[in-house]
Formats: sequence, C-alpha cells, structure tokens
Amino acid sequence: MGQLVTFQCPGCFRYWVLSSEALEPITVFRVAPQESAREADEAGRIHLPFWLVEVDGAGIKAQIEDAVKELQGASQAVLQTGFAGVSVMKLPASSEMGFLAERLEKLGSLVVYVPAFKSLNTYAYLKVGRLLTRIQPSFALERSDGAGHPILCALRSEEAVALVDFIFFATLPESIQENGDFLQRIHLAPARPPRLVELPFRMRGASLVSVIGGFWISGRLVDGVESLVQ
Amino acid sequence: MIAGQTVATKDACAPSFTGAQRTATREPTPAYGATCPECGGTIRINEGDRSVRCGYCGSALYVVSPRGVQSYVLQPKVTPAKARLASIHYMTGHTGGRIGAHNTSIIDMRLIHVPFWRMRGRLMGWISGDRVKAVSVETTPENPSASPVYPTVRDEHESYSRLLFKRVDWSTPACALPCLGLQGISLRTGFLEWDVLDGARRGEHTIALPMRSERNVRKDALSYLTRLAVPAGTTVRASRFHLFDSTFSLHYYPVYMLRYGCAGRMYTITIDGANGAVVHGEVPRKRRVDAKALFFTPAVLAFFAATWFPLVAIALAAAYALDTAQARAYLPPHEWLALRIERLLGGED
Repeated sequence: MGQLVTFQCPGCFRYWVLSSEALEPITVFRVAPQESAREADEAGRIHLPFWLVEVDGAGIKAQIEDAVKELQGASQAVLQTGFAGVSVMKLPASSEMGFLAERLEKLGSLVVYVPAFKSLNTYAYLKVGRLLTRIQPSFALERSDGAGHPILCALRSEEAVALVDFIFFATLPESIQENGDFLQRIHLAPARPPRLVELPFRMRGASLVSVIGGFWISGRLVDGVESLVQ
Repeated sequence: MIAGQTVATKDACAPSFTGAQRTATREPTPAYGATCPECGGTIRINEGDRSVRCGYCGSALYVVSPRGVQSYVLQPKVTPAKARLASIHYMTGHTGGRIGAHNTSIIDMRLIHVPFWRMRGRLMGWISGDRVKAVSVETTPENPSASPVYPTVRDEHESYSRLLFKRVDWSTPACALPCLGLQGISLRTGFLEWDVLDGARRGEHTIALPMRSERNVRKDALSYLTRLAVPAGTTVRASRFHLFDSTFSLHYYPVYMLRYGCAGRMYTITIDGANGAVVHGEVPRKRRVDAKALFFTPAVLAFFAATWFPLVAIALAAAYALDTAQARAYLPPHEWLALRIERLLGGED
C-alpha cells in the first residue's frame, strides 16, 4: 500500500512517473523562494509533494445555486402535496451559502491541495489537504530541480482528482457538511490537468512547519522524513 | 526501480513470448521468458513482478501490463503425523471416547493450499445522515380534566456528517469451500512468514484455484467497508466513497483435509496447517432414543382410541343440556337428536 509512483534519477535529478504502461518523465514544480531568503532558507527545507487541482470557482458557484434551487423546488413540492411520511429535503442556510458562493467567486479558481506523500496515518492526508485548501496560499512556482530533500509522490494524478470532492467537503463548515441532500449534488471537476508541486516544510523539533501555510503537523505523519533529518 | 538506469519503453520492454513457448516444453510454469532490450540476454519474469533486473547487463526493466497478481504461500508448520493426531483427538473428544483410532479408518489426508484474496489500499469517504435519539418529553393533554402532564417518548433526528480516510487491509476466501470451514485469515500480523509463490514453485504445492475475480472482490470489499463506516443508530441520507491505491494479492494458506470412515459413512476433518487447530470437523452422531417418537405419540393415540366413544357421549350430553337451557323447554333426547341431525343435513328450522 502506498507505493511510490514517482522516481528520481540520482544522477540528473529528473523525475519519472509510473503510468499504467511505462515510466514517463514528469515535470514537478516547486514553490519559488524569495531571492533574499533563497540561500539561507533552502538548507533546512523538506519538500512534500502535493497534487494541485484547480477548479473553476464560478462553476462551483453555479452548482451550489442549482442545488439550492433544486432542493427548494423539491421541498415546496413535498409541502404542497402534503404526503405524510415524506421527509422534506434539508435546505442549507442561505447566509452560509451566500458567503461560500461569494468567496468562490472572489477566488476565481479554487486550488484543491491533495497530499501525495506516503503516510502511515492516513488521516494526515485529509488534515493537511484541508488546511492548505482553506488557506489558499499564494506563491510563485518554478520547475523543480530535484535538489534538497524531496519526498517522492505516492499518489497518481487520477486518484488525486477523485479525492478532490472529499477535501473540498472537509473545508466546509460542519452545518453544510451535515447537509447530505445538498452536498451530494456537488461534484468538482478540474479545470486543467493537476500539477505535482513540492511544497516547502521546515523541521522544528518533531514537527513539520509549513513555510507557506504557517501551520504545523507531526513529522511522524510523513513516511521517510526521519531518514532525511538524520 | 530507479530512473537513470536503463528505462525500457513500452515497445522495447514488451516481453517476447517466443522464449516462453520454447521453455514451455521443458518446464510447464507460468513464468514468462523475455529478452532484455539492452543486451538481448534472457530474463525471467514471474507473475506479479512489476520490475525486473537483467542478470547480464544489470538494466532495470519495467514490466508492461498485464503483470498478473502476486501470489504468496505459507509453508505448513504442522507435519502430517501431527495433523492426524489432532484429528484423532478431535474425534475422541467430540464423541466422548466412543470413537477413536481403533474403530475408524482414515481413508486419505491431503495438504491443500486454500487461496485468499488480500486487498490493501485506502478508503476515503463522506457520510451524512440523521442520528435518531429517543427523548422523553412531558406532554400536556388536550382534555383539561385529565391529569396535567404525562411523559411520552419521542424520536429526535439530529444531523451528522463524517469524513473518513483509513487504511484498508482486508482478506476474503477466493474460492467457495464450505466443507473446509475457513472464513478468513489474519494477514495483518507479521507472525506468518509468507513466501513468494512463483512459477517454479507452483508445482510443489496442491493449490485450490481461485474462483472469484479481482473485480468482484473489490466490489465486495467496498460494500463491506461502506457498511462498516456507518455509525450504529443512524440513517444515511447521502454518502460517497472512493477506494484507491489498492493492491491485490493471493495468499495460499495450508490446510490438511482428512477423510475417515466409520460405520459405513464418510466424515471430514479440516486441520489448520499453520497451528494444528481443527478448523472444521464431522463426527458420527450418537444414536439417541427419541422418547417423544417412541412413547408419547403412541400413548396419546392409544388414549384417544380407548376413549373416543365416552368423549362423544359426553359432548352430546353437554350440547343437549345447553340447548334445553337456552330453549327453556324439555324435548326428549331422541327427538332433540333427530332435530339436530336434520339441521345438520340442511333441513328447515
């Protein structure tokens, strides 16, 4: 379980991905450090792989509006016919929906961060993915040269796309998460092919601190970190 | 496999099966022969292998699908003699010493490797629904003259949602062998030392063939895991699950199947080849005297046979007395009986 799908050549540091038929070269991106801090910062950094799946914000907003409309219509119909024993579909609070739709519209495109590192604690995936997707950090990307301490990817891009819905749901308030009738109508489709990006973390004690997110996670959640530190 | 060594492309690495055909005549195993695209040396690829290293030039080669399923076998830790002894102990123990080695004949004993599918992967899911809670409430009655309040129990629905992300290690029998009595094996623990079952070693074992496909097993696993994810006392309104990063392997577990005869009938005992425990066993049943069939039923029948005439007379007397009391008039018994028979046969009142 959790087998690596990318490999790095020890000679030229190029990355290869294990597709269904062969090993193919893959372009991996990395967060570009600021020029002033480049030298000092690079030394202690650990790069964890994430699939960045970009979803069109307007598309999600439209889905939300359609789902609300559909639920309102269905509830009205049930109330008018007055069928006994039929449960009225739950409607999400309009204030929360309005806030969510407005936020997505403002963002333009929502980037869902799907963790791709190998982990013994699988809940770490959900936790880290949720934190980064909520924050939506802004940074510049550059092509990774494979230097430093990259942790290799253990998740295929197709799988990452399939997990996008779950990570998006995890970022929502609990009141919306509990609305099954509403959420089951929401499906996030990637606007462009997912990109594999190495995000920088710094080891502080036994914790990994996200350089771009500001949060920290236990270092034990990520397989292979201990060996890099030693 | 590390990129940077020779990476074989699809065309270059596609195994040439001519080699396999050549070797098939000498050694009938499912391993495929192929030639190294770099040096032309002969390489051997076993079922389930993802990558292989050329023994001549050291090139790391990637095996193009289909790769098959990796198989593992567990060597028996129990000798046939111990298995036989365990079965005799079982027979003696379960028949209260009636049946032992002296009055049974062991017909045959076989070591069979029973296949189990093992699926390892990760499951991500989201469930949303209602949690039903019984709440005691005090109700005011509509009628003011009744008691002021009375307690009633009402169901309260509370919304819940759950996101889950868990590692899955699941096993299920790969063939239907109900007579063996095996339900599943614990594969998570590292106590069992599984050996890779490659083509060369396949002929060394008697193995039962898997009858369920990988696809069906995946479906079963997903349905089992989704059922397990639903909390008790809840109803699900919506859910979504995704099983990913899954790998399948076949594990062949050793089992001794012993057949013995006793009083003209055949019985089977299955012994775990790893720990010597009896998994499933049949023993001759003790013949019991059925008291109900032998005594009570004939006794009841005999009672009715002896007393049917007085019972009929008693019933007629009771009916006569009842009719006389209801009519408040006396009618001689023979006339009453004639009237009753006439009514019974459809005569007019």
